[in-house]
Amino acid sequence: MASHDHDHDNEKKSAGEKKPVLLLAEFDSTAKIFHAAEKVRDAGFTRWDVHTPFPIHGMDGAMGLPDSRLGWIVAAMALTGFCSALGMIYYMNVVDYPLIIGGKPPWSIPSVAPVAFELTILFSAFGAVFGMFGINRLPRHHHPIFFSQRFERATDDRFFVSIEVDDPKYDEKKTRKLLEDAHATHIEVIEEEVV
Amino acid sequence: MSATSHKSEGKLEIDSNGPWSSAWKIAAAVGALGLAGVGAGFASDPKRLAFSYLFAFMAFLTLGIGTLFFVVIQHISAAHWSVGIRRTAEFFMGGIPALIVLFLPLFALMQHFPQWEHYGHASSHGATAQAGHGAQQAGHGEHGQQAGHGEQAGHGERPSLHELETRGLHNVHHQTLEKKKLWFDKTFFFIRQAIYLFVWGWLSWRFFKLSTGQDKSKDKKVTVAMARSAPWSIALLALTLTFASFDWLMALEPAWYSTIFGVTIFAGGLVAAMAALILTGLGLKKAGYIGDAVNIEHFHDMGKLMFGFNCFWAYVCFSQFFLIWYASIPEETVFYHARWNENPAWQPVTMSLAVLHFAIPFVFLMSRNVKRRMNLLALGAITLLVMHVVEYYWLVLPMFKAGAHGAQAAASHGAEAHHSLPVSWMDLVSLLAVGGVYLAMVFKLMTQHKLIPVSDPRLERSKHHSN
Amino acid sequence: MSSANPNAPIKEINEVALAAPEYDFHRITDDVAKVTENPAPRGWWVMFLIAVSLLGALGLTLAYLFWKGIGAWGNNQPISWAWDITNFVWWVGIGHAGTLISAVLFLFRQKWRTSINRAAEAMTIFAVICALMFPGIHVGRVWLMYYPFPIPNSMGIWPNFKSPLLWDVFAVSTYFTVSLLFWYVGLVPDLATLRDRSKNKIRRMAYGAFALGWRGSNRHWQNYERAYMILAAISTPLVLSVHSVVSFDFATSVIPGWHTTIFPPYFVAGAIFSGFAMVLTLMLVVRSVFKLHGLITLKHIEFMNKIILATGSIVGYAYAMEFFIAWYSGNDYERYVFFVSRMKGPYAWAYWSMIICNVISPQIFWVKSMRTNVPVSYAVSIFVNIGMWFERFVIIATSLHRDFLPSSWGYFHPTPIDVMTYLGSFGLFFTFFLLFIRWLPAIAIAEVKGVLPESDPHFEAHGDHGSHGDEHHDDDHKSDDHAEDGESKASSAEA
Repeated sequence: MASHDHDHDNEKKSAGEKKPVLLLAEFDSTAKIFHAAEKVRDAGFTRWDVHTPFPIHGMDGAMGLPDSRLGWIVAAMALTGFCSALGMIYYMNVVDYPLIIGGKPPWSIPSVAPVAFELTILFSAFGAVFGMFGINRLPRHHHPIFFSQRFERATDDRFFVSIEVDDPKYDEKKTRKLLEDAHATHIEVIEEEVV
Repeated sequence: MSATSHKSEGKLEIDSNGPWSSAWKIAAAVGALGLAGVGAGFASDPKRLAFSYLFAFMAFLTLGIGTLFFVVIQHISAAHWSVGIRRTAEFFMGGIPALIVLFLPLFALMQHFPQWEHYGHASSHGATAQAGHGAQQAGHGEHGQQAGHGEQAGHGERPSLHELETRGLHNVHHQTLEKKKLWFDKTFFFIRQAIYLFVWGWLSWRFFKLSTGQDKSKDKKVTVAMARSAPWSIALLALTLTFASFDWLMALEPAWYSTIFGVTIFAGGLVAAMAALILTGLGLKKAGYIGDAVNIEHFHDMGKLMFGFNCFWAYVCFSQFFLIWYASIPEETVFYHARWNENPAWQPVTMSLAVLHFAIPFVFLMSRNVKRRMNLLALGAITLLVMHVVEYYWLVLPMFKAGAHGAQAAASHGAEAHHSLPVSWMDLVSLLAVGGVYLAMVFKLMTQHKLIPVSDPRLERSKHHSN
Repeated sequence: MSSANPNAPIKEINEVALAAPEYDFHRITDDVAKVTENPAPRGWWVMFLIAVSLLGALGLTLAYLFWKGIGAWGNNQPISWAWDITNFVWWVGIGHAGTLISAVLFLFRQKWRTSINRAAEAMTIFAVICALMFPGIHVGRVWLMYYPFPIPNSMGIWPNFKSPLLWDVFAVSTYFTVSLLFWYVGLVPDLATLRDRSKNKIRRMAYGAFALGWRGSNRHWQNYERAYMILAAISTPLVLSVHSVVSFDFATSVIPGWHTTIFPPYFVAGAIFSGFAMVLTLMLVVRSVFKLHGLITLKHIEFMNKIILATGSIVGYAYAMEFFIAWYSGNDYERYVFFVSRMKGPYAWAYWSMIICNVISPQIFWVKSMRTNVPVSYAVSIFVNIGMWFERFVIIATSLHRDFLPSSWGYFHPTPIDVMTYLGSFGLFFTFFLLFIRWLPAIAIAEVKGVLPESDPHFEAHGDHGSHGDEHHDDDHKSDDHAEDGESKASSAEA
């Protein structure tokens, strides 16, 4: 691990084709990352994130995130699914080719229920999954944060705060100090090649 | 005298001068008023009263048993989130002895229900009003004579096809009923009722005693004991509630049957129980009695459960309707027939169950925000409680046919008498009587015990619960 | 607020830690990921070869079946549905436990689910694939399988949406799709873990491609958790609907023994019952082959056994209702099916096997020492699997074999093709399942971490590494003190 340490030296080089994009601080417990997130939030940062191997209870509040919008997407999809089912059945079994089966009129609402229900669920599930990936802008295989070797433990047992250099509040020294005060075990600057 | 306030923890018990301290007296007064009305009803029209009382009683009984189910489920699942609110459920459960006392008038009224109008006459159905049992009322004899009259009507001239059909159906109907006479044997019936009452009374007493006892003893073993009793308790409850619902509700249409019926009753009871717990919990919270032990997170979860159980209720009720509708077998469709075609006045009530008990609460309570806004949650709970009462009205009252004798009379008398809902002042006084007496006991218990299970080992975890 | 962790297990009320105490975050990652990284143990290869052979046999059987037509099965009149539909219902039912564990237990905050939900979800998907095969081949002319789908065709006709069989098409395919999505969503963070641990490029590319560039961002977790919650919330009614719709295949008819209103919830309970038995059958083997005793503890096995007991009792309740109502209905045909045809008829052997396996065998789990006993659990799980197969067979065959006219009475004899189709479906199932166990994280890594006590940011102030064992005494004293406050207050109030 140590051999891959970029640390202080990299940012000073700024060799022209590389520029710093992220400040990455590592923490070793949920409590520390939680308090660090609260501090970063209170310092007024906006372009930053917390990276954890599993979702931490209450972290959304600690980061000051607004509520997820996903529910609206799912609700819209559910309505779409329900209406498509009704429309489909009505067109097929009532308009285009009416069938009287089992003494039931072509449009008998109870027998519509199963298919209408299933399609509502199906569309909602599509909404939930693809909506979630959409809001999260995934898949995104290329991200500067992956340049950090240490970040591999973000999916194992370490917790990270990343602050974008573009954040209006960002100041190399002060931000680093803020994270150090929050008991970060390691801090590094991640650079990306300028395209 | 009054307890010193305990930080933000709430007072945890009802102080002697707060509004809740006299709630039981108000409930008792309402109950007494209702009971007076019930007495008046009994004197004027015992048959009508029988249906009113059964409807009111069943609405509250299922609510009470629902809270008992809730408590037992919490022990089975070793739930921690619900510890704070569990005591509220235990108060409602603790009121079951009052319901047992309120059960007793049903025995005096039972002869007016269709199943006992049939089986109460023993074998000589319809012909003569035989005094099969001691408590024969004058009104009872009348029905017997009318039914007999109905049968003889065809004797003079050649019977019409309609009459022949009716008579043929009646014979089949009669034969079917003969085959299950054993179930309506009086002795067997009373033994069953005794078992139900014993099981409900004993379980509610036991869980209440254990839980409130733990407040003082602080014995963690009590938690284990309750968890151990829970599985067989739920089995007993499921069976007794099912058969009680068969005896008193399903049998109102003596030839009708549905295997899922007990489940629908159970599901509806749970919905009502959750609604009652939410409303009571909010009331206690507002009065500052339970502090943070029951907070928005718990109400959110209760709202979820109410929503979930309501979906389950809709699911089982729809399953019952759907399969009967689809197969369209006359001996099964009679149940929905009575609530739709036979008397169209019931159609809006039937629809209201679909719309106001399910569709609108479903959409309304789906949102997380609604479940976390106490006023809106309370609105949902009130709606579901009202609809619970409507459901029981819908289950019981269509079987009330003034002066008639069950399905046979409905067929032969034609429909002219049945185009309005049989609403009566007795419905209201019965609700007041049963509700008042039951809630008086519930509220009285609240003044005597801690409002949350203060010594439950999972209480601390419950307080930190969040969604 | 006390700094003691109220989420720590309380020994006096029989709570125990869900993961063995030596587990920390890294250990969980390690143990689960290693299964996919180390060479497969010999046991895996043995099972895999057997499974693949059965799968090959299935291929040959199906080829023969398509060539000859479904007359190659023992189906006849009146028993026109036999093993094929029995197997269909049985496999769909098995799938239900996966959804129950991932969705319903999630909604009920049953943390112990995290050790078994991944494998159970995988089981769901593979079981539904097996299930879908049966109606597919039962139609006989498989090349006409597009008939039930609402696609424009040269006949100018549409599917009949009042047919329960059509509802099945929609229900089961929706179920398959949603289960697959749910499973995949759960896998994404764990695939990222495998990506980040991978030592060679192929692994990194393969896992990385499916991990979608997951970087554990909390902004992502927020939507992810909401999506997971929504999926759980919609899967719960979905799982109820699927087996309800399957039950409609029977219950909408007017055949005594099929037409009864309790069928929908009864089928659902039976499905969960059989599904849990299958989860137990599989997990007990996985646990011992891959040495996951620390993550799938006796407590997990006990929980599963309790659910088997509970759902088995619900199934018992449904049997009781069917019997009681068959008698209570006063309907001769109903009474005949339940009291003569099933109990004493030619299928009495199947009926009584069902009762013994489903109703009687799980009752042993009332005894704690039995439900924490691995061999007993395994035996009962097998019994239940068998019993639930018999249940579907009893429902289908006994209700059909004596039609209303005695001239239409018959009996079903399976042919070797019947037997091979059924055994072959195990080949299909286990081939998928073994590949899954070998190449994907069989335990939800991120979720198990989330239920360790040290995952909670508020109660770790004094603890360095989650030493679950030693904090309890502390806790208990604290809560005792607390309760004493309440007590003294109570006595002062009474005075």
